[in-house]
Amino acid sequence: MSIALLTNVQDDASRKFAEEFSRVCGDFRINDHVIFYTDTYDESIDCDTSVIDSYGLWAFSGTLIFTSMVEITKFLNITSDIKFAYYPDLDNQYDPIRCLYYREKYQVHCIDDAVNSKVCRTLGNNIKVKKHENINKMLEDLA
Amino acid sequence: MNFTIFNYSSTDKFQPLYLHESLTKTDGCNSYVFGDTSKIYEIYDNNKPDYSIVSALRTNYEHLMHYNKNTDNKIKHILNLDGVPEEHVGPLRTFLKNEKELQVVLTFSTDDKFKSADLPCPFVKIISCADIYLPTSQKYFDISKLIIVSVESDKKEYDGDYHTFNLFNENDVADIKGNNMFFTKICNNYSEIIFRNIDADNIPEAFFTSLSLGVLTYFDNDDEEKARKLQSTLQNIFDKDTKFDYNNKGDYNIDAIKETIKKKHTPVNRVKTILSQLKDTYDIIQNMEQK
Repeated sequence: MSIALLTNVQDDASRKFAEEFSRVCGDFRINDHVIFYTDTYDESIDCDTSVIDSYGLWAFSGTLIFTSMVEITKFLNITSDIKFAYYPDLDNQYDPIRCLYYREKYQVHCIDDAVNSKVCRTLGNNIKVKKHENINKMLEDLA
Repeated sequence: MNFTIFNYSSTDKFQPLYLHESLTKTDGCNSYVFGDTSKIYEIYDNNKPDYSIVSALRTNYEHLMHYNKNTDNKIKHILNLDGVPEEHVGPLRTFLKNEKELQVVLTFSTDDKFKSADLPCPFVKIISCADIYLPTSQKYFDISKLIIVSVESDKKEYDGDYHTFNLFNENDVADIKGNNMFFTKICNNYSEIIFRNIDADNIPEAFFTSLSLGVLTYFDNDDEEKARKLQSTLQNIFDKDTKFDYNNKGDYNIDAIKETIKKKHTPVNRVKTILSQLKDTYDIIQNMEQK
């Protein structure tokens, strides 16, 4: 099973999440995990996972966690072999209309209570939102 | 009859655009919209307007007056007064009395306060209307409520799922921000639309538009006196039995309201009102009545 994260590693919170993602994947002994970066690479990222340009997504199949709805829209149609999972906790451009427009294409997974509450309020019954205690539980569910 | 219209539209007010659209669809009328008065010689010479609709707040008068001072064919202006603050009404009165070059033949606004402003030219109240020219879109999702807010204090907790929408300014106070066109496109995805803290003197165009699309549209005002006045105004405009106050829900005759809007509150009605105040427009209005 392949699992990947698509995020902007230039953003501090997103980079920390990517490092956490890498650590948890290691703990769970998930063999095939990768981080795709949007924007540019940040050398300060501290992880054992391969960090590659988001263009690599064209050859990826498996579960992809993404943190920005704006960024993912250009990849949503690339292949049917990707199961998309939206993690809105880090999305500082959260736009419910855009989320609802593409609602058939992905699942939503949250950790933060406030984000969960906002996402549930703004997505209503149109998309099921899964709330997790922490990143471990979320990856356990997705992997 | 030729019109030019200065584009004084804003995110929540598309009046110059729907007046233009309506005029271009009217037999015997032509219209041209412009956004830059620095090219006024080119615009007026090319379009030869009988009347030019401009904004008291947004249009640079200097260019218009310069044109009229230097031409034999002086252009008559119709002045939109929306947004002129109370303290500027006095100076505006003096300006209009002294500066005859502008040739203002009519003033109009959505706001009642100018009725008693003693301006030296006629005034007509033009309330907002449903912008029937905006494109609608298919339904993509189901959300219970859309709450229209403009400032942080408008935000309020509601039950269930809802979006907040800022239609009025660039403030990041809502889930979504956009203009009347975007609002119209997403309208039919909601069961109810609630406008927070709006005035009876300035009912938003979007309020009319969402009603015209058949969406149950309410207001939710914190000020009870303003709420009572607004409820009464809306009953007079749309339907005497409908409760528009979200805090006092009751009967809602959406079909009757849609019919009223179709008959009385479209851009065509507003154009008729303006034309009826001008000279030599009898035939045009008669044609419009027959359609």
